[in-house]
Amino acid sequence: MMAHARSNAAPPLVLMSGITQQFPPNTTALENVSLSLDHGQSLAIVGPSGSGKSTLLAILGLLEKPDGGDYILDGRALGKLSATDLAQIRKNDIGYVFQSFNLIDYLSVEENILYALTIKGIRGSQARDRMHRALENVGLLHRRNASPSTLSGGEQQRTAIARAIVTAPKLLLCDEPTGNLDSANSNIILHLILDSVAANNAVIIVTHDEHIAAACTRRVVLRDGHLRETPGGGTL
Amino acid sequence: MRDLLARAAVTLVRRSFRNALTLIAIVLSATTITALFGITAGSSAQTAERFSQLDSPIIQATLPATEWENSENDILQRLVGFTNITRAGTLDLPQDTASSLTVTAPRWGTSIKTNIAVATAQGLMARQASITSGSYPVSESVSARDPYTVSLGSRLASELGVTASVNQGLSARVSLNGTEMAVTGILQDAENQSELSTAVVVTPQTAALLGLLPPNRTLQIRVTENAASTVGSLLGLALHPQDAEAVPLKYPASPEKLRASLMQDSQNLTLIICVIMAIVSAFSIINTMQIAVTERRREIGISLALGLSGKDISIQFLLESMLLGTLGGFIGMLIGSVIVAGASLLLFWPYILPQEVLLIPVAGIIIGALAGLIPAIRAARIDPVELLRST
Repeated sequence: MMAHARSNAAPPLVLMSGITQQFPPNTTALENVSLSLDHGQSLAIVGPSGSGKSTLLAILGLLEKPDGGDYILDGRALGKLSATDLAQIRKNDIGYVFQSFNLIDYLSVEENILYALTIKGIRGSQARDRMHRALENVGLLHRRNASPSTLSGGEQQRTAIARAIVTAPKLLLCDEPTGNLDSANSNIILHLILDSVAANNAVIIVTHDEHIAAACTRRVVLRDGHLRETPGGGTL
Repeated sequence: MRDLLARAAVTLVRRSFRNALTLIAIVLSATTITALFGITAGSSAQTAERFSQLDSPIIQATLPATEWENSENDILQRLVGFTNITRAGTLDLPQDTASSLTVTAPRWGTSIKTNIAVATAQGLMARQASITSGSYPVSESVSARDPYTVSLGSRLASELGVTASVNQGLSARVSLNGTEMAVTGILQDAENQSELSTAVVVTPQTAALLGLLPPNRTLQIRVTENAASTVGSLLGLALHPQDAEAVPLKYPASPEKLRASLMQDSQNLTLIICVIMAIVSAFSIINTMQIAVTERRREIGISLALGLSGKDISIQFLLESMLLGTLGGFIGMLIGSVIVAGASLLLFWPYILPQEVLLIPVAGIIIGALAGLIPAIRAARIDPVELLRST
């Protein structure tokens, strides 16, 4: 069954159909998964551990190629693209927020953000302006020169969000973004993520947290490699 | 590429503590190589210079035994055309005569077993042996009272206790294997030479009378500076026109050739050490980069997620190891050059730094590239999905 978008006014940002992924020797992580996501939507993927959430997120983020199925991102079929082309799309269209923050420890807060911009080819004053705005958005401008190891968990994740949104990705993928945070910080992070959703982009959040799932416009459940849309999104 | 190079440089600086030991190892290797190149060049030049000072500019021509029948003037007539010859004469050094005898000073009863040299005044002067007392041995001075005359090396004269007598112009006599002789003079050997200082020096005539003529007659031929090889090439024919090959010549190697030969020998040794040092440096870089790949799996995953390709990651790691090799090579070359300068100042060697040392940073790039290859390939193969699955 396809988890589909509620609005069909524009072509979907994400269109997946029949995605299958197996791991040796005989584990099916995803089976015939189909998913559609429109611009401006936020989607929560929930499910128990080992249900295939991270695998689906890796495929959505072009870090892993599926064994079967089609994936169209913003109107572009990705199945036959080379590794270099996929890296180019990751660079231009996709942002990541990880559960364990994944900041580069020997770079300062601002350098972590500039790093993402440099990879995208944005340099100089333009990069510094963007970095400045991103840090302002997440309330960390005063800690711009700090080392990640001196930040709290909430501050690290805010830095990671700044790094992800500074390049204005079309698709923001978040893997348990509040998994390592207390409830106060979780709320801040959730709002930062959802506030980044605009008419020209979308966000997908893998989470165990019902509160986060409820805050998203849509919610899907992944269980044993099968995906189904469930009500309850956008109820918060 | 510019961004990757900048990132590689930033990473090296930011991870300087991790890279420090490897950098030190490369710097030490490059320093050693530079110092070896410079010091061996300087010491070889110095050694060559000393050799040339010792030997120049004398040619030794070994004439056949039949030449003892000719007078020295007859022999020297054959060299008249050589304008580069400043002096020549007979001098068979103790090692050429291979004769030893017992010399006794009858007045004191001191006996010493020593060697004999057969020389004319011209031969001794050609060697630049000088008379400190008395006169050069002259065969014409043979008198009825003293058919045999002898000169003594300065050390031998001192040991025998005849120096004072000769200095005062008094008659001094010694006995050679039981035959009494008048001492005509005391000889000081040439600078930096000592063979004659312990020898009994007799004229060819005296040696003939004593039956101590050496099997060959050796001419010492002093030439002007840098003329040894030119004169030497013609000397055999001039001295022995019937068979030039029958006159073996021993003349000093040219300082340039000697230096080149010594440099070649020392450079071969340096080359072996360089190869060993290069291998050590390469393994050091491989080790550091392998550890870096393991330690930076998360960073590599982040970079891939942010949009770098596996190829970019490989190039960045390769650039890091190349920068490490270049930096280490460059710093080592500078330190090594200073060490060579210091050594040349302290030891009074010429400061010679072969141009090859400029290749050390280049070698650092190449070694860095080769050493970084495997870690770079490994880095590109890291699966970024691990990031999603790790907490």
